[in-house]
Amino acid sequence: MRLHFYPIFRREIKSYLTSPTVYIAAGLFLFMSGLLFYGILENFSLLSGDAQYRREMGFDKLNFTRHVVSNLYWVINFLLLFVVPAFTMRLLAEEKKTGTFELLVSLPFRDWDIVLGKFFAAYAVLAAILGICSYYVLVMARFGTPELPVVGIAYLGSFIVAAAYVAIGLLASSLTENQIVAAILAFVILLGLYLIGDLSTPASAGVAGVLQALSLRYHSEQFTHGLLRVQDAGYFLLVVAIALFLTCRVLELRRLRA
Amino acid sequence: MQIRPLRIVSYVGFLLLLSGLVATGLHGRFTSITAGVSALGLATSLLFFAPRATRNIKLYAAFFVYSSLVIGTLVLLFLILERHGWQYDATRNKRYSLTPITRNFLKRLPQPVHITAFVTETERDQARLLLEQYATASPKVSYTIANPFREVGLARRYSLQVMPGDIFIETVTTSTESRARLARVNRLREEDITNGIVQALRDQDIVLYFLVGHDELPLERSTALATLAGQRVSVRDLSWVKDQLERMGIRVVPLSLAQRGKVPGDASAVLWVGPRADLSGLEAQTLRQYLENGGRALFLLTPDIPQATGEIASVFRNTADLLARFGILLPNEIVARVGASQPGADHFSIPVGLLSHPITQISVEDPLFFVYARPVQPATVLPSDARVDVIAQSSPDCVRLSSGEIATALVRKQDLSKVFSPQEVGAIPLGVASLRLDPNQSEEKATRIVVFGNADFVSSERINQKAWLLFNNSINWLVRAGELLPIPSTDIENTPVVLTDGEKQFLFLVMVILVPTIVGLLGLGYSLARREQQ
Repeated sequence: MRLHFYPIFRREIKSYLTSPTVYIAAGLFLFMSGLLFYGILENFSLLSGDAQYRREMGFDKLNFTRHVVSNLYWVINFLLLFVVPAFTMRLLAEEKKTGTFELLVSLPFRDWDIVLGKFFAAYAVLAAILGICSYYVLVMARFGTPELPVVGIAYLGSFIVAAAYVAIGLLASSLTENQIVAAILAFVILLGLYLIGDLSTPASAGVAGVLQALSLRYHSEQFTHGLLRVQDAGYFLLVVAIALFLTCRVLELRRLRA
Repeated sequence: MQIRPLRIVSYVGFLLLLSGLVATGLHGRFTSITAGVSALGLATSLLFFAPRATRNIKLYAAFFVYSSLVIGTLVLLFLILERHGWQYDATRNKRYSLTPITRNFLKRLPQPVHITAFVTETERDQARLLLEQYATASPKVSYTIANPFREVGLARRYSLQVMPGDIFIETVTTSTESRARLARVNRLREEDITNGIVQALRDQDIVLYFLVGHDELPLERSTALATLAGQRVSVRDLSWVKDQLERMGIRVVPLSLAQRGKVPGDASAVLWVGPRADLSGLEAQTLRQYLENGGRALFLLTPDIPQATGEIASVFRNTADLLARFGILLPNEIVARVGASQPGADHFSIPVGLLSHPITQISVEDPLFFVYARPVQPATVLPSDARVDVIAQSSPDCVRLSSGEIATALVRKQDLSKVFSPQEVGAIPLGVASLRLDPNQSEEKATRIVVFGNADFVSSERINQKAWLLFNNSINWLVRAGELLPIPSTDIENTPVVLTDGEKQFLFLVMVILVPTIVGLLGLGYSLARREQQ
């Protein structure tokens, strides 16, 4: 089977590898996640060694998996909210700005090929950065007692969550010619979906249920607990499918209008 | 002037959005209507940004309809998927999954149940995660999560003082005439919610009366009292059992027969656990009347041997007479192990085997020991309407010791294998279940009695899972009021980690400085080199 989107994927990957922005963003992401992971470990160590502090914080028992593993992957998923827009902002906005978009659509590619090629390229770069974070697992195994199946699910969850973020970032990039606007738009959509469950506070029970079902945070948190649920994986796949579908429609609309 | 329909629709959208938000503000919260109006308003107001050319209106309409259809189909698929939820819980003790006991119970739910959990906003996700599993496990379970301070109307439906953490479980009946039963629990944990459902489904409340006034095992925690009295701290009490029973929605009430003169009418069963003194004649008569009228009772009777004399101190003459009427014999003896390797106290630690009976259907493999046990056995001649089954017996290397010389010899640490002949050694019955039913009456009126020759196996000090299940099944068999589900707690493991200063410095260096810097600098160098090449 021939992957029609592969030429676009290859071109995008090359473009990413020569872009200094990507390395700066990756370095910042690793710095922030490393710093926060260090903070989580140090706090856990402090709680473990100081019974009074532990009582003050209301912990009867300290579980490494619950306190360190879950919090680490929660932090990673949260940081991705900020990092992904930086990776996806240029995907289509730059093409439109520089005029290469018209050239791209004149080539024998379907809209789906363009969208999938760009999506997988951005996702591959992000997955590579998440892959670098795999050394955190070694750190946890060396210095603590993590439940490795939980680590596996939480880590897998970060890859699933990242796919949804990239798809939304790509959609935002298709809506504008300005990269900064695309990044802000992606961030606003992601943050909105992340926080929408918190709107359930002023909502009645029925609406609260719907708002929580839409919440990125609620679904991503289940992975960090070591839970792999059809509902959560299905939710992120749904977000990816809808975002990519809408990106295709936006491209189609632009082509038809022209 | 050119009329632009999209603009007009977008203005209407703005108005809808505005009115939805104003209504929300006036109401204090989003309702289904205000949220729907706001969402519709937001969607239509976005048309304001649509290009001016109205010639494209068909294009946009087609785009909108097509996208809606595809997205709607995807959402529908997701909702179907969500209803048949599957999950893999990677935690070691499966702390985010329902136990098989609960899942089996939910599959057999006889009628729909609705759970209303009042929680704070911080607990909302936790509540949803747990209750979602109940709803997924059974289509007959539905749930609502609400904030008692915001959903005041809903809270008032249940009680005037609803606080975060209160969970109400009610049966849902189709008939408007029948009143739904309501159970209230106050912990967001599986064991509480499952037993809350059991409680809501029950025809009536279970009330267990624990007899007091004969130096029984105390119902309350005895450590504080022992410490105050300057004694060695022990937990020979029933506080753990009491907590578990109350968690299952069962009322536990102390009862002094001497003071009250009768067993209250709402008693589901009477329990007498670890007394050191016999019933008075009047108390025995009161209890006999209660039992003959279809009462239920559990007797846990431990013998105790003062070390100085070797005599069996507790002589339960009135109790033995009472039980004899129902075909149960309570000899004034204790059971000892001949085969115990160490002389002395180990002779009295009796391994217990369970015989086939509804009470003994326990799959747990924990060992069960009675430390000091008295024989309990069926009478050779039973009343015509009574049936007595032995449900527990000692290991086959045991003998009966009567009060007097042999017991004294034992206390002096003699080797029992030299005292007894092999014919006297064997398995000795330690627990019986008696069912006495008048053929002209319904089974609900049957007298049910369970007797074990030991009480300490349910004390907080000694109880294990098997002992708890044996006790729980005994109550279940006695009261015959639906199920009591002993859900084991899924406590987390304590796995603290203390890092040394050197380890902390190493981790900081690697995770915060080295790795990010190496990735950033190497990447930048590579990208600049590639650019120069190009």
